[in-house]
Amino acid sequence: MKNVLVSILTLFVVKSYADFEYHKNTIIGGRASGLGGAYVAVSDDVSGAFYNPAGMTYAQSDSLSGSANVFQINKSTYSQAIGDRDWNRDSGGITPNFFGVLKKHKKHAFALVYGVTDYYKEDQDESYQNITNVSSPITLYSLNLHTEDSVMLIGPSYSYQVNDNHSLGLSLFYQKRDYQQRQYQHIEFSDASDEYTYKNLIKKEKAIRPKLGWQYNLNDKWVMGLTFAKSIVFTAFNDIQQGQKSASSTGISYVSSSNIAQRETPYETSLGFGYYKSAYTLFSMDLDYYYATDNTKVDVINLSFGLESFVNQKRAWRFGLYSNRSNSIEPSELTTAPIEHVDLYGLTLGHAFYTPTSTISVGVNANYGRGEAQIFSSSSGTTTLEKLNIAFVLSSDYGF
Amino acid sequence: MKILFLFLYSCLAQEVYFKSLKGKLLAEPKPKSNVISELKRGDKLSLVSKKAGWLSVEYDGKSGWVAKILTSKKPPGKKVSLLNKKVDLSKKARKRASNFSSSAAARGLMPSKEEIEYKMQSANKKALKKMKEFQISEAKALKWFLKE
Amino acid sequence: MVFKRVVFLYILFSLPIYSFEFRKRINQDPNIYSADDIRAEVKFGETMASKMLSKYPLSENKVWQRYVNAIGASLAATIGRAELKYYFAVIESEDKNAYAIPGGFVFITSSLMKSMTNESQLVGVIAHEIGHINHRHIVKKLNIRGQDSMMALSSSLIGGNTQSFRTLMKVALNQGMKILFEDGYGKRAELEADATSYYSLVNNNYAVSEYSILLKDLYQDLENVKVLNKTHPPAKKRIHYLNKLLRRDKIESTFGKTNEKRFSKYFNSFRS
Repeated sequence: MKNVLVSILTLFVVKSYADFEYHKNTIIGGRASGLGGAYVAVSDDVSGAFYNPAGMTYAQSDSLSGSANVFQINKSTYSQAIGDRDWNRDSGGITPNFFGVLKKHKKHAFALVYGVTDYYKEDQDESYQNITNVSSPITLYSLNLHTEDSVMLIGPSYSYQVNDNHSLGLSLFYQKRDYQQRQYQHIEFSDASDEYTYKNLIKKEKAIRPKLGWQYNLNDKWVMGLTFAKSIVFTAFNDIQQGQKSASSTGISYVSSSNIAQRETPYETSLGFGYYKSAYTLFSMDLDYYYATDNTKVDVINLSFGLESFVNQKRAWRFGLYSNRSNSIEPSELTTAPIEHVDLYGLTLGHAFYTPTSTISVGVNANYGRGEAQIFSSSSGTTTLEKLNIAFVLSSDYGF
Repeated sequence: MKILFLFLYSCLAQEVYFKSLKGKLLAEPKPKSNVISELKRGDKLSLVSKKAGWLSVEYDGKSGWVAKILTSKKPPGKKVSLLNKKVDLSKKARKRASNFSSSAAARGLMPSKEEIEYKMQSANKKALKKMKEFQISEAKALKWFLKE
Repeated sequence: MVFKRVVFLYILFSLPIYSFEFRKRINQDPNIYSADDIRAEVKFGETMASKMLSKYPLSENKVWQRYVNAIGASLAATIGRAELKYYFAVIESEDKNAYAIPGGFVFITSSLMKSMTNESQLVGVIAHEIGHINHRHIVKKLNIRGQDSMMALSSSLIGGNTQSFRTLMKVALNQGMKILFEDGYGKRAELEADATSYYSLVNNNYAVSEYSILLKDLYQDLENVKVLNKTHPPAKKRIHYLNKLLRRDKIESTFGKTNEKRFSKYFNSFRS
């Protein structure tokens, strides 16, 4: 069923980006980001605090690490959402990704890490003229959309080597989310009437995120890892201010509300395997399971695979494949906008340069997905939504 | 066909290098067996098989055995020398020590720990130099060693 | 100050070496080392050797020094690492012991020299110490690595001014001395070094049995055994291992020369 932009009241209900819809928007750390994020059975460096703290005790030395998404593009295309035209939402920029310090002492390892697991910045200032093949022809439609969303983790992590075969670890993060979206939409119809809406939406959330990890060296080739985590929200604040004017009215109706409703967060568990074929080659595989406690979300299973292959002592290639599936329910007759469900599938490629005490890695992480989005409040019809995300990652580690 | 196989085999064959200054390619994996050929440091050998402390190899078209301990996986390197002995980090450190000790001396205190250490260091350097002077050339020594 | 190519010693230490070596990637493989690593090893070894010489003086016995160097250089020529210069010396000490220092420095105490009765025993002892140097036991344990000159400057900016370098060196030296005099290289390392003795003796037609006899004698000395047991595996284990190798290679226990004639030439006038 073709959807039409008929009136402002049935305007786009712009979905806030992410809204914790995905679990793998950013792959933290240079090495993990080359391996598709399949790191639960590896994690033998400071970035292991995010994947499986139990692995940090196998780190080679004390270290300082940092990585950044030096260039990131996020593109969402809602097919033919404005008359015949596609609606594109883009985000991009340079974002820090991760910074950490690791200190070892005999069988113990301590780390302090900072990571940005989600970052989205959108600036959209569009205007479309002469939109025909709609029931009321539109002379001008303009949309100003500014969105900023970031999720940051910071905290200590501890790892302990129980014996030759087992190690345990615990990370305790403080997680902070800051989201703000300002949108303004205006339609001028060919009969000179107009409609507009503005909306200011703020979401803030503070949580404690413990992650418990275990690693097991099965033999001299295989390692297994298991983790459990959950973000426990302790403060939330949601505020919306909205004003609108319809074509037929002369005044603006204004609504504002705020609440401190806390998000229902999923229980998370990951199982990982590492196959250490030789000193040159490593295969890794992770299975992540997110058990939704929020009945507006679905459980998610993600799979990831990684391969690291050393050319010589100084250089290595990394390759990965992964899924980043949406925990959103599928749009249907029973749902109302905004709902979108797009499962993303990704590929990573990286290259690392080693010296005896340091590493520099460069890499690219790209994912793509296609699904359906319900964006019109007046109908249950859907638009095809395509998403493409590409990030270039640069990271360095310094051992001492 | 045989030539192709041999060619492929030689491509795949692992190489080892003779590490010892001088030695022998023997007929059997036993120290007192017949000598097939003389070997010297750097000679490239094609590895055929391994057995305990011995390697079955091919050299210059001949097959035989060498003691594994006399070989290495990489070509034997040249003797390493420490470059640029002039720029010695300990010299810099000495500068710092004298800065400290001059202020200490000015205060009329004991010679600094660094000063005492420095004195000991020079005595030890003398002994180390002497130890190095004892060295006999490897070629000369080996010649003497192999005489009964 | 003209900075040409300078060797910066970069020492990472206090790291236990895990038995799950399989998790190490090739860039972390301690068995692969570069020319800079070798230079770092030699630099470290020279400093440790001079520290040794501050503890024990060189023996005045020039004949012993010459003999030990002749045997040592011959063994170095055949089984030593081609890129190292090996140095040998006899030092004055009551302990019947020998020490191998990274970079190619081998010390034998005067007391150990006096305990020997033939050349086979001397070859065994020197080969054992060369074995420690060949396997880089101390280098691996203390993680001594070189830094190529590209990184040297950045490391000095970030972490290594000369004062802290001296501190690093001091700590590494102390740890090295601790390995020699208190903790030992470890059982596996000692048996690896004994294997080097075995192959040196057998390939040069020396009697392995004589080396075993020396080991037995050393551990029977009540004074000496306390020191030896701290740093080495028990004599029984070591002799058992040597015999196992003899059986594997089907070598008679009576096989091998002792070169007593040449040995006496160097020892007679100095035995007391």
